Amino acid sequence: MCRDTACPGTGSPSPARILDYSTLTDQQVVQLARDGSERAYRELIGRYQRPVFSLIYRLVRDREKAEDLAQDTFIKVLNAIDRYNPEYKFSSWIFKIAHNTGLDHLRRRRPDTLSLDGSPHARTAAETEASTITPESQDETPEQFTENRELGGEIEVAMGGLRAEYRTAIVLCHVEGRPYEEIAEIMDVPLGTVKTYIHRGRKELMQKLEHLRC
Amino acid sequence: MNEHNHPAADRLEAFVEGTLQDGDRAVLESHLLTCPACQTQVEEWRGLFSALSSLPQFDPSVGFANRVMEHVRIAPRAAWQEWTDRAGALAARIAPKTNYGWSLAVAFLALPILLGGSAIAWLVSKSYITTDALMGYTRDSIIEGLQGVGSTVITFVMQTELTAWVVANIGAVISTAGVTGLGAMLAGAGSLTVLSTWVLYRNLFRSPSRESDYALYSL
Repeated sequence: MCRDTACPGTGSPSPARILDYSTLTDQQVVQLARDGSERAYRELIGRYQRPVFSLIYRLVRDREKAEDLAQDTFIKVLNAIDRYNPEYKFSSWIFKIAHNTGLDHLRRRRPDTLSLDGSPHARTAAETEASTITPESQDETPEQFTENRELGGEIEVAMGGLRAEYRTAIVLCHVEGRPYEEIAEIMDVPLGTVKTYIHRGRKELMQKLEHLRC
Repeated sequence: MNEHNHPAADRLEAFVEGTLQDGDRAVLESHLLTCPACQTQVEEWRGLFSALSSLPQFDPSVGFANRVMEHVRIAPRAAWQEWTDRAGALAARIAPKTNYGWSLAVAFLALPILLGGSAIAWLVSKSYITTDALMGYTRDSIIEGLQGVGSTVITFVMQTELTAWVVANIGAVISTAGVTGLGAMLAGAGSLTVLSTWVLYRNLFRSPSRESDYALYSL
């Protein structure tokens, strides 16, 4: 079967040559991917790489790590495309996996709350010193400079101080424009919880940005 | 409203978000006309909403799609998988959705089994009925039944006004258009039948998911 390239021997383009994937719905592109079209896979990546990467980047706030996690998300989704249930929105599915992948990383990275002043379980001065975390140099590498510039706006800094769940809910609501019902599906929580997350997140942002209004 | 007769901050947030009920909204709007403090808060909420909705999306680095595709297994689905999917979808569509529906379906399906089983048990209990006699009787009955149905249908069709009109006019058609004209008319009617059957099949059973279909639509 020659779906994405000219059929060998015929010299004529296959239907896929003429097909404009950008006009198809997600469900139609998924069906083509399930039929084995590589272009369909690439179309799905093209459609969702920015929103998925942005969501994860705002969750983990580390560009390199966000790329790895976004890549993991797409690999998981695209390798499981046969198991995708078309009754649900594709966007909900991929955002759900992106959110879970980001949260898993945060949980792995911070098994316990860390303190810069040493472990709260330290009994002697030596134990305290041994468990004290020394912040790394403040000199920025070019990559860090770019990251800080990207997430360096007042509102991005304030967003970084929110709970990960609040951040996801607010990004999905305000940046991606997803309705509350879909956010509930993505985050796997009741609708009321989503409203609470968004309300509390906004309220915290208002408090964090209060100094700008003075 | 709180003790100073100002609406709560949550309500101002809901007002800016546009999720307040019409009645509440009207009350709040009239309050805002005379309350500079609440007007300021509304402006602050608006500022936050505006700042949030103007947050940018970020691009991953160049070559992201290629790096993903290196780890993706593309396996075309076998034709039988498509048929099993369709069978599954059809079964899901016609399967009862409630316990009552399931009970009814089971009762309906069990009825012929019970009746048939009872009939077979009764027949087997009679010593004078042999298997050969039973098979022969069944075969003869089926043939007779089909013949009866066939003759009834043919008689019914031949007695309709349309058939009488077609038979009466067929000679006239042949004399004016010739045998070739009659053939062309039959071919036209046949094509229409095939086309209408295809439209029915396409809309009832076939989902528009094949790549060639989309290619046609996008031409």
